[in-house]
Amino acid sequence: MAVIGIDLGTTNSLVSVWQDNKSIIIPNALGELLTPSVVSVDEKGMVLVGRAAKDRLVTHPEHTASQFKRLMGTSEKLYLGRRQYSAEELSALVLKQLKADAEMFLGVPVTEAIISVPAYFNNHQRTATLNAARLAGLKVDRLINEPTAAALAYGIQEAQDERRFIIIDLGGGTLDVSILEKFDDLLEVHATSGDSFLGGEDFTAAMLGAFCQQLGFERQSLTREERAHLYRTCEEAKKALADQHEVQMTVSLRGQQHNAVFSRDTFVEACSTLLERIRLPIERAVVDAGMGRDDFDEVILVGGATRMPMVRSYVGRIFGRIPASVIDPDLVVAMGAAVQAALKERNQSLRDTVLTDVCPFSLGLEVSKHIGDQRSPGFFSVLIPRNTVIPASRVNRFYTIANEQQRVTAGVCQGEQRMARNNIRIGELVVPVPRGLAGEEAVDVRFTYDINGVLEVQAEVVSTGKRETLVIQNTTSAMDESTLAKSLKEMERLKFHPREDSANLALMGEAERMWAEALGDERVYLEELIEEFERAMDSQDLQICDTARQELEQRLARLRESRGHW
Amino acid sequence: MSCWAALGVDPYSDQRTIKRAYARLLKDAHPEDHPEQFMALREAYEAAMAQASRRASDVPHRPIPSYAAEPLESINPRATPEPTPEQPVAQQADSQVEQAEAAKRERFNLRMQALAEAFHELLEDPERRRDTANWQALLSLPELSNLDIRLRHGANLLPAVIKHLADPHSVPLPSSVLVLLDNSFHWTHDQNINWPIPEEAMQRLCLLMIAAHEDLLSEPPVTGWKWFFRSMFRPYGRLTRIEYIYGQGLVVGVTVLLTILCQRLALPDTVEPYLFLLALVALYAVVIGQIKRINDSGTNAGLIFIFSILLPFMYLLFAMSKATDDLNPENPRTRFVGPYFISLMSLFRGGFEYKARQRIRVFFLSIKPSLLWVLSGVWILNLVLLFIG
Repeated sequence: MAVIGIDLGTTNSLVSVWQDNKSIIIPNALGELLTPSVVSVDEKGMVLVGRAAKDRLVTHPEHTASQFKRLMGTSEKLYLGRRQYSAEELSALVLKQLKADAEMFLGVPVTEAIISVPAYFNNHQRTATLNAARLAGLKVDRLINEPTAAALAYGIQEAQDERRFIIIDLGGGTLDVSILEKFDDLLEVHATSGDSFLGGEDFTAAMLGAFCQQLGFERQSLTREERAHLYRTCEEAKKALADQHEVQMTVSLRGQQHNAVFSRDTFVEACSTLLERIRLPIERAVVDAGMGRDDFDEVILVGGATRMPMVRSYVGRIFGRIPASVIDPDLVVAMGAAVQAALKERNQSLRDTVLTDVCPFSLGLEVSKHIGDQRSPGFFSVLIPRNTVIPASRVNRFYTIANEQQRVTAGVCQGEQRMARNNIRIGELVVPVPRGLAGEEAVDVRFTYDINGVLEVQAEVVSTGKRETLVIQNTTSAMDESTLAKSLKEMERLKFHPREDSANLALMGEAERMWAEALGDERVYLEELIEEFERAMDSQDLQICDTARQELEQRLARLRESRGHW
Repeated sequence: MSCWAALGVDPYSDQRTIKRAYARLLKDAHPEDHPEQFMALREAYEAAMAQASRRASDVPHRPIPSYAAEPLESINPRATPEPTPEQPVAQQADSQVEQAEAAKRERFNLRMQALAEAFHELLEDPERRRDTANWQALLSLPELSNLDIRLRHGANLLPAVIKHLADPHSVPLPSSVLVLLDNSFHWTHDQNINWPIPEEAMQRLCLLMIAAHEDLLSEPPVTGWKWFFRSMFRPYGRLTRIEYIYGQGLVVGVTVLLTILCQRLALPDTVEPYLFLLALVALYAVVIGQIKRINDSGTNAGLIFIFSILLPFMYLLFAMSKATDDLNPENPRTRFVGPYFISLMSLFRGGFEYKARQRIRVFFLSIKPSLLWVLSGVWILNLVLLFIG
């Protein structure tokens, strides 16, 4: 049985599998490799995922959700129609869709997967991703860091023996930087850093702001529909700007058609602060790895947002060379996830490659320290520093701070700040100790961080030898078992459109979206087309549906041609 | 077993050999199947590599990163580097490149030195260092957008800052400046970086930073005269020392002003009795408001007693005002000195004491010019009227 690799992205998601000694990206029902990570619920309460849902962002913004990966690990909920959805549930819906695509392609049921997550995802975010996988009915043993996955995709085909590369992964919503070294068959991650809230979507939002200013609109005064329409136009324009220096933008707002020319320079100016934010994680990784900018054999760009020429040239300026992206930057992470799936299965063709990864954050305990004659709580004492190769196990001794102390309580934290309060608290360790004078009793605390990202905290009282264990697994916090079971039940009640309909639905969504964006005669014309197509769909006859669909496709294509891109 | 034996290599092998041995052994100690063996192997590998690199450290350092090295003339004209001497054309291209490289490094070092001097100069200037904008201007120089360089400057500046904080005779850096510096240089942000100061000083700095953040959060956003009047006549809440002292000044000032006005206008039978009435009401409101606020602050019982003999009606207001039993030192409105100052004194300057000199100094440091104008306006008016009279 095959294990699939999944790249669950902010903007697009992909599913892949290792077959015939190479990674294959599995196409979805529409025959496309990229499935937009958008979920929509229609009037009948049926769930739509992918391109059909993406078009509904413009026509039905209240019933559609996108970019929910950014809310992973938070308790924020989104309303789709009447029902509230958490980010985990929405991600689960996308995963379900991907799983169905893979099952269709492979012809066998799929239950196991490897999911890629941004390297800089913290414990809560990783937990949320695993919960989403459980809700989708997938068994996920391993989360792989996105840049590591990309390195696998590159490293496997790399023939040379000794190479060092830095991978910069700017996706839809996150930035990750990893430094890797390939030595014989060993692929070693040296350092990882990133920014969980910087991605291509931020560039689109910056463009939207600049465009609104150009048109003289208040961004706040736009309705959700208008904003979605503008956002989509900006996204199209952003993609177009990758190849051309200027782009003609046409938007219809408040019953009026606005035309504007947006140049690459304006775009760069609008995004200057975002560009600056790319620099820090890169430098941090380079400093952490103890290397200089000239120590790399290759600078590799990954992620759809690195298609933007300004990102390429900015990274190029930092390293003083032209960055490489031989493999399609949208697909490379998914391909790497498939490689990892094969590695995990010990696929014959890959048996010899060993991958070692690092933990992206420091892990430690919250402790008190003596300063002068005072005792101050809240310091962060690191046991496993960031960029330690995992699996890793470290031990440290801690002493009681008060006379007659009965137990030692310490928060387990993850982060880089010197004060624990500024880091993320992921658990608490409580160890009963025998009473005594301050500093007489001691506890040995051992942190074990295994290859699956599970942290085990073990404490042993030195005088009695009594042990306490706390496992901070990626499956406990945030969403507990009962809520998980409840939402699993609710998910089962949700209905999906049958797979055969997906082409019709996607086309319908597109036609409706074009209708919403059109004005005057075009609008009337589109309305007629939609009605005609609806009649054909109501007939339930596959033959009629297919002809009608092809007809509509052609007419929409002609309309699009008359406008340039739409 | 030594790390060399664990790796199966000769002691003091070079890094390459160690790495190769590690890669070979890794096949049998796969991190997925044998995490224990892997961890042992990794430990040996890291120990061996550390020893090997210590011996290899005689090799010259890698060159200073030259990215983002832009001219620095703008901040320190004296440190403008000398133009590099013309190279004889006949010389070998090889040595030319080398010399150009050396000259570049030289220029870069000079710039870095100038920048470090600029930071120290600013820190030593008691006037300019109080303004965040001055620091901001230095920190936004293009060179400092490079993390490596910024960290180096941070390391350079930190001991001087600690020294300044511990100097009992200097007026401390405002909390806003300290927070800005910390955010820029990551002093307390990243525990992986070792700074050239003792660990205990670092811990003290961490605690001070917490207080500085608190100070920034609890500082009233505006301390101009509008804020002052609002805080004076607000029906709830408490009083800080500054508000209290200003209030005293205002009460006395207004009382004197009204007395002079009354004398000069030959009241009440000749002109406009309602004006007199209005003035009395205003005086009454100011006094009552002030008394209520003093009472809320719960600190000046004696003063309240004197006023209460004069104005028995104020008990009505006391009955309506909030009880003062939840007085707590954490509440910013009951503080007479900020948490940053208390922390600074107790962490770096050998204990915080309520010395009158310190209080007065802190008080005067906190006065905003616009507020001074309001108070002095009232008093100047008094003097003018007195002289005319």
